[in-house]
Amino acid sequence: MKKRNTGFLALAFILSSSLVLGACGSNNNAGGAANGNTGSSPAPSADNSTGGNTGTEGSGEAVNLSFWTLFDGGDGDNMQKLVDEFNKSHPDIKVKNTKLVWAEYYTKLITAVGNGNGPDIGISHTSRLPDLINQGVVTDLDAVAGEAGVDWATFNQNLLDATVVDGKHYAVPIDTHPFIMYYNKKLLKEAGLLGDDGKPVLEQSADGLLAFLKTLKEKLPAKTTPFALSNSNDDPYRLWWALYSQLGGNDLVSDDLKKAEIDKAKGIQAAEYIQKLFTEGYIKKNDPDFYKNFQSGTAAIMMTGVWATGTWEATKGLEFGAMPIPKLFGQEATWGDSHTIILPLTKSEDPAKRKAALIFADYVAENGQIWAKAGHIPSKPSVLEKPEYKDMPYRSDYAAVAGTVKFNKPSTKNWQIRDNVSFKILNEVWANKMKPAEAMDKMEAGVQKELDK
Amino acid sequence: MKWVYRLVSLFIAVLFAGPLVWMLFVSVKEEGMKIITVMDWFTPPYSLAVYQEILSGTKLTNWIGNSLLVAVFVTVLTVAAAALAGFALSKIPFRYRTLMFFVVLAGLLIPGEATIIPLYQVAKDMNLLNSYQGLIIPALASPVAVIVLKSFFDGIPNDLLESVQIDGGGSWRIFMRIMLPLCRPALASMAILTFIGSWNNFLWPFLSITDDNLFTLPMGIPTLISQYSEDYVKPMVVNAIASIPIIVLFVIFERQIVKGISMSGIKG
Amino acid sequence: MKMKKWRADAQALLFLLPFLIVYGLFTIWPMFKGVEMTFYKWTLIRKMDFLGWDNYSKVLQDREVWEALGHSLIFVVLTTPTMLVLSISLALIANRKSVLQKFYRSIFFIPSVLSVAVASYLGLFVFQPYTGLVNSVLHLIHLLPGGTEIFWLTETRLAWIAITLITLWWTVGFNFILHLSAIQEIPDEIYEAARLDGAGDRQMFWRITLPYLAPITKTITMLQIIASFKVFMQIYIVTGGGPLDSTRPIIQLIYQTGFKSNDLGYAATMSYLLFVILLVLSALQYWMNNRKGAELS
Repeated sequence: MKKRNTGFLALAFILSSSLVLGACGSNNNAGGAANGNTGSSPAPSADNSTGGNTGTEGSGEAVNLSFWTLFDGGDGDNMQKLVDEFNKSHPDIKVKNTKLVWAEYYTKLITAVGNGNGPDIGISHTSRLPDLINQGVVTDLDAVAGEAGVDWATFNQNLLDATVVDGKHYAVPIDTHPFIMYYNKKLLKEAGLLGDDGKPVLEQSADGLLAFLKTLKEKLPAKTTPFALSNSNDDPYRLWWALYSQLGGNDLVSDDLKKAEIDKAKGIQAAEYIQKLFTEGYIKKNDPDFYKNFQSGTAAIMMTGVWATGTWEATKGLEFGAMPIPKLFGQEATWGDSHTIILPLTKSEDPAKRKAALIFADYVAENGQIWAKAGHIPSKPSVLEKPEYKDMPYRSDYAAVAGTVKFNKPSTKNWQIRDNVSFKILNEVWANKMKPAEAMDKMEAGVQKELDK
Repeated sequence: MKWVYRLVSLFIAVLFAGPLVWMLFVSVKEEGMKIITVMDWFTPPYSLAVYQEILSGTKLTNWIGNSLLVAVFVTVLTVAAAALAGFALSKIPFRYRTLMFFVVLAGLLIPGEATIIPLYQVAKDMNLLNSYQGLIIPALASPVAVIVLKSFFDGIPNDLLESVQIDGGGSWRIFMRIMLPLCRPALASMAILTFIGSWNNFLWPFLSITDDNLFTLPMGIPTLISQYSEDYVKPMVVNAIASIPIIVLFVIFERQIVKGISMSGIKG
Repeated sequence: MKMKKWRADAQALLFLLPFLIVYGLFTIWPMFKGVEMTFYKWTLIRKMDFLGWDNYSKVLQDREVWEALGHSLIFVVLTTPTMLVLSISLALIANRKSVLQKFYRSIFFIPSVLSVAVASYLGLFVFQPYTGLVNSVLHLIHLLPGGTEIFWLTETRLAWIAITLITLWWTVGFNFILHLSAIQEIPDEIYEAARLDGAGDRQMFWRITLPYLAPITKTITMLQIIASFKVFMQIYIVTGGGPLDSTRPIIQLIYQTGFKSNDLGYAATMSYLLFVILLVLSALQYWMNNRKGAELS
């Protein structure tokens, strides 16, 4: 009898303890491999580190910082370069860069911060910052900025203002990335549209661009695309935003951020214009890869964010130029946003880490010429004067565009409105399945619904 | 008539194999090749360079390892827990047995997807998010497995057990010496289904894991593929690397797997 | 087995314990936790304001929710009958004596062992315009004139077709094996007797094979309906729920509401709506199975 009992108990034990043991063992591995950014580890290790004097003296252990980014392609490489250089020049701080997928980045960031597994440093777009502040995902930087010696006066004040809420700084801006136009010099020349100065012969008006595209279509072989543009989501939306703003439209929400406020006549005019570009065949229908289309030299012009500059530069045999979005309507304006560095809320809120993180953030902004390799416009005016920056081609052709960017108002719903409303409804207009007027009505209702959520 | 039938059969088989064959051929192409007609995908030159790049430059193999680890743990522990519970429900005459049976049966009616949001909150409260435990433990209770195994145990005549009991064997011994060996096919069948279910589980890892060292294959693949825009070569290499081990496993265990599935059909 | 009452109770408890702990914590408890969540504004970060019945009245009037449920239903309606027909057809093919018999069985099943992500991406690439396999092959055999493309993924109807085909290809394997083994269990004598009576192949299929497959087909149907209602990842990868949310299933909406719009409370409320529907379906299945059991015994 007794023997049987022990056997039986042993089984129950093995079963329940193997659960726990197996699981714990594997967690330790995970924590180690992830270099401390998985949940349980940061707090104790941070307390053991040297505390206050980790900043510059360099005594004791290095401060380990986890950094989450959403950059891929050329952006990703240049950010990695910045991180590497920083780690080299700051032996007492070690930043580990984790690249997340763009589309899932904010969800993962908010979720991870929510369950205490967030990184020490993160990236936020200025347009997304109000939401992150509202959620309590980011912390204010005023105290730590003083310690780390960040001088707010060295930043572009426009950019900086967008990161200040209720008088508190929440982010360190590192760039502006406007929506601009690229052109293929070879193809333009072939169509007789390249001036002697190497710039397109293009009249700055609504009809001017249409005529320009018409010539391209007629003069170039049928396989070439006059205008490489995505058929959905971001880029056509950005173009719409640019034209809507050129017409004098001012965001989709009211100044008090509570009501949908679309200048419908202007919205319709902008949407009709873009719809025409699609229906008249200047843009390849449902182009599965509009980037590759331009990159492989089969598209004459292309519109996207400045971050493509680095990619085009690295492409052998691509002769291209960069310029602001043509002024088609009343005033110069374009879409744009700004990347900022944020300090997400962490479990420990370790002052040494926070200080080190802000030293890193200021370093990234201060060394904007490296980040500018990807194509972005640096956030510190002094960087624009650096010879390393001035020597880079193309950038100066569009650096001034930063001043014409029409940013989002600081609504906490910017991204929800964009993802759940604007993209989806405008996509239907581009596919010629919805009239622009109907689209504006739907967008107004949709924006209001998001604001009410 | 007969050859029409054969031709149609063959055609359907080609349709089934098509995407996989395409995947394998594209995966051994060089990046940036001009593709003008379909045939260009299948003709040389071939190159394995991208395989090497993906294997050494990404965490894909890590994720395959994670998926295997999680699936093995989930399979072994789920089947063990279900067998124990099924045995108790089938052969131990305890009080409230009927009630307990219905409690388990009710679990069949609770779809995991419908409780995934509160499960997230519960796992968060228990600090299980972003960990191997979090991937494994919530997946271990399978009422289906309990019920299926119970019905198999029901089929074993009680006289057999009583003879062991008379010899001085207790419940544990009966379970180990008689029930498990007799129900090996049923256990294997449950194990195979649990393994495949875990291998393919997407929603829960997707929600609960943020650390890319802990990704499982189904959630890791999209993060990789969505970064590639050059052409199909890299994505296809990712797909191929993710699929080849499991296809090999299938070929090795084909007979058992087929048997396991047919078995579940008879009882389920 | 015979044993003393208290001993039986104690032993049963120990045997049941591992299962019950996990079951209680991760299946039963979330059910109750979820009810609490539906009464609050509850974000990924924390529990916020008490809302009372607001989420419930909202969900009943939310067009997006009903549309998403409708899409899940469309998916069920599209995949279930086609799945049954395909599964039985494949089983018939693989049941024929032929040199390729083993090959057929393997090739029909292999897609089922692929990871859902792999299957979905393969499907996506196959149906991509300009560079996808389907359009390229159609061009090659001149079924599709040069210079024209079929936009499988951006036209709602075509997108449903693509999603259905991908799903069938990827998941038919299991049902195919079930049907195949059921066919193989039909005694040969029955066919021989029918042949002696002068029955043709077609007659034998309708009169013998199909009726014999009825029980397993019924089971497959119910399981298929319930499983299809939970569709998420294929659609998420292939169309992302578009165009204009016209293929977005309910699980995707629940995910987006909870995690993208950061509203777990409302997402949980939607889950209970889905739960009620699945509950009814499962109950129906259980009832049918039991009736079947009663008939047999």
